Amino acid sequence: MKVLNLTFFSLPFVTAFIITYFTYTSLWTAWFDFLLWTSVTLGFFQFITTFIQTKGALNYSLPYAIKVSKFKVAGFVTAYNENPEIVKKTLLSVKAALGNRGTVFLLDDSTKPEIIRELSEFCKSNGIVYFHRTERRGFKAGAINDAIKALGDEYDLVAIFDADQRPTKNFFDIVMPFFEDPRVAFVQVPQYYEKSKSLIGQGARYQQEPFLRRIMRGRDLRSAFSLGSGTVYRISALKEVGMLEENTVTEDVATSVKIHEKGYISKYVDLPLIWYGAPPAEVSAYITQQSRWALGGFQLIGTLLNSDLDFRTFMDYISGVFYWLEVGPFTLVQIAAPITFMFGIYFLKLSPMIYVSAYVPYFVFSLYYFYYLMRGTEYGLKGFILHQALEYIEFIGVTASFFAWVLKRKVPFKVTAKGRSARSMRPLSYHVIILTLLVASMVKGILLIRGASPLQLWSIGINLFWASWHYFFLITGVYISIASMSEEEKSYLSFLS
Amino acid sequence: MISSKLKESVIRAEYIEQVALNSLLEFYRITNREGRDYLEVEIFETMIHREIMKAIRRAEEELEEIRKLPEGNLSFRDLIESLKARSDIEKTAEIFYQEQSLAAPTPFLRGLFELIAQNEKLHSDTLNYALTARNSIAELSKGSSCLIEGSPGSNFLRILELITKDLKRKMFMVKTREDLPSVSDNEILIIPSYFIDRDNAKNRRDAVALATRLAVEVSEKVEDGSMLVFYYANELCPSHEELVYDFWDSLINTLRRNFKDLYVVLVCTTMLDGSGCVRVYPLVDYVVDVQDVYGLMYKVKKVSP
Repeated sequence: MKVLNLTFFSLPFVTAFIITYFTYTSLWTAWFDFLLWTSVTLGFFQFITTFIQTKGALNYSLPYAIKVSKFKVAGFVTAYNENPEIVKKTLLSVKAALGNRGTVFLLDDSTKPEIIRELSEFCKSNGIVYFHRTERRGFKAGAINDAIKALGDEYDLVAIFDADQRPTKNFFDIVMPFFEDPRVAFVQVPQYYEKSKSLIGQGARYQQEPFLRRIMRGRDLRSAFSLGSGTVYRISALKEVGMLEENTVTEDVATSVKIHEKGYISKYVDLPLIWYGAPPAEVSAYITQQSRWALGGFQLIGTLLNSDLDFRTFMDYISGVFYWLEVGPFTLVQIAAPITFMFGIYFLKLSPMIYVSAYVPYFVFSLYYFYYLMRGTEYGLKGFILHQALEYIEFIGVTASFFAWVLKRKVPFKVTAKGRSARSMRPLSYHVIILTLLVASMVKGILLIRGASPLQLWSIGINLFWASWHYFFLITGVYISIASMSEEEKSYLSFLS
Repeated sequence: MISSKLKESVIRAEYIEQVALNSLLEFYRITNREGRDYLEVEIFETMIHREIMKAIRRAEEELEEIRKLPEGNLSFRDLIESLKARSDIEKTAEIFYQEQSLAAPTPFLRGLFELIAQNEKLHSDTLNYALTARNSIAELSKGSSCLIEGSPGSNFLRILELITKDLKRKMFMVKTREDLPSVSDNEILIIPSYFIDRDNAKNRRDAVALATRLAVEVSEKVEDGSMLVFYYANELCPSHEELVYDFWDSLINTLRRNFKDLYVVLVCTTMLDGSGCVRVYPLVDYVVDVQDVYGLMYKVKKVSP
């Protein structure tokens, strides 16, 4: 099994290497040629895996009727210096949903004394168990593991909610019956982002659509993974895999891998069972969130390659890794390609006619397939543009995460901000530099048209197309980031300029 | 007798009345003679409102205590006969309150006494009707399906309890909402995925497909020889009125094909305009028309040969 998995993982790189062998111009630039081809092959393999996954998604359906189950549930709400008002409302929502089926626990790792006092008093007066740690070993996963150990054998299931994700009243009625199947180790419901005025918030919401409506549906009853909140675990299964993984920033996915490795399955219940959730509203919060998820994805590579996952499940997971590579470091490579070409560094030897005849049909088909896939959802053209623009905004953060992983650096991550933080324009400075380079390359490309041979015209045309493509989404990303800033941040920006 | 929701409302109402009373008393202290005359009626009636709310709460608490008394041997039939022998108490009370309403000094008190008199009369009427009504419920066990219909808030559960007692079958209840009261250990919950498809059902084919799939899924969870209750049936069918018959026809027929012996009960609420599950009448043996919220007044009619 492992050989098959390793072969699949290495295929994009091996394919890119073979193509590089036939297309490199000099040994000095071969590495860049290889990286560019890897970005293409990674994209292709990611498309293939998504295609396979989403084929299943189109047949996804949930039962109409379920037999009401009786399990004893521990409802965990995790918090770390969060706004107490948000935490209190979530606690009450969980309590209302849980009813007499179990107990609500607040796992509060807060360090601010006023928050600790306020939340512990609230818990005391509302019949909620307050659980506080002074040292944050293992962060959120550590808090959950410690609390589960303290529970003993009293509970069958544990439900985990972030402080800003509130379950609906019928959450447990709907989720619990799936545990009647002993193969099911956990049930995941989609996270919910409420409608936001901020374009970043809207984009983050649209970005979730293909993932939650198609990818996760396609992974239902096989490899649907925990999203960290809105997950209900079978405690015995968690104990069997040694509890939640603590040595990664995305403990949810790493734990899911361990569970799937044991042969358990997971159920994805795509129903609106979370009724409140705040998306990141400004660019630095958004980049912090995406970088953390990306780092988790990269940290997973070793675990996946050493795992005993069956091929289909491995393919599902590795597709996620390909995604982060594609969105992060390889976006940088793709942007750099037309710039280097326009400035006279010819690193690739390929007839533009071959490129056009091979790549254009694939490109058009992948766009059409994406459109076909998202029909019937609220995604649309606006969703597509905001989604792509945000990916161009996050790529520097994701690339930084990639290098943090390569260099084995422990990146101290903040909690994803639930509001606006000051000076969120700082991450955009890199984007402005790249935009300037893209504009310069486009101007250079236009100047090169004069006196170019027909074949050179094709090459210039292709590179102009890609430079414009990157420019459009990057400038849209910068625009929505600025439009999502607060007035205070905008005045700071005008002061700087 | 009263739901926890009503209990909460009563406590809230009592609090609101007390707040109103305090405010009126503040004005009473500072106003002149004419103002006091005006306020006295309002203060008196607000006090009565508050006391009524208090009384509802206390009556419920008292009833809870009474329920703890051990059960006796007197049958329902004998109980009704015994009560009938003492029905003059109700009649006397009715006449007494009627007289009080005529002599009452304010419209509010007049209305209150009239209402109590009417209620005493209802008690007498119910007593005369109780045995007939109970026997008509027993009639239901001769068929294999029935529809219980009434306005929202009717005590459908009381009728269901009686039917279960007569049929001596295990009850499986299909609930359309998780917050409906529990009367069976075997509950089947309809989840939002069903309602999404129900709302998308536009034609006969969609309705039949929806009903068939629902019946198949429910069949997997139900035992032969049991009683299956759809609570509330009208929330299950597509909103297009012309699809209701086809929907229930497919659902009931699929269930019949899957089980040799299954008693099907549809609980349905009537709308404000009086419409309800009329289109389902041809598919069931009996219709129970619940006319009173306490489930003591109902009419059973046989609707299919």
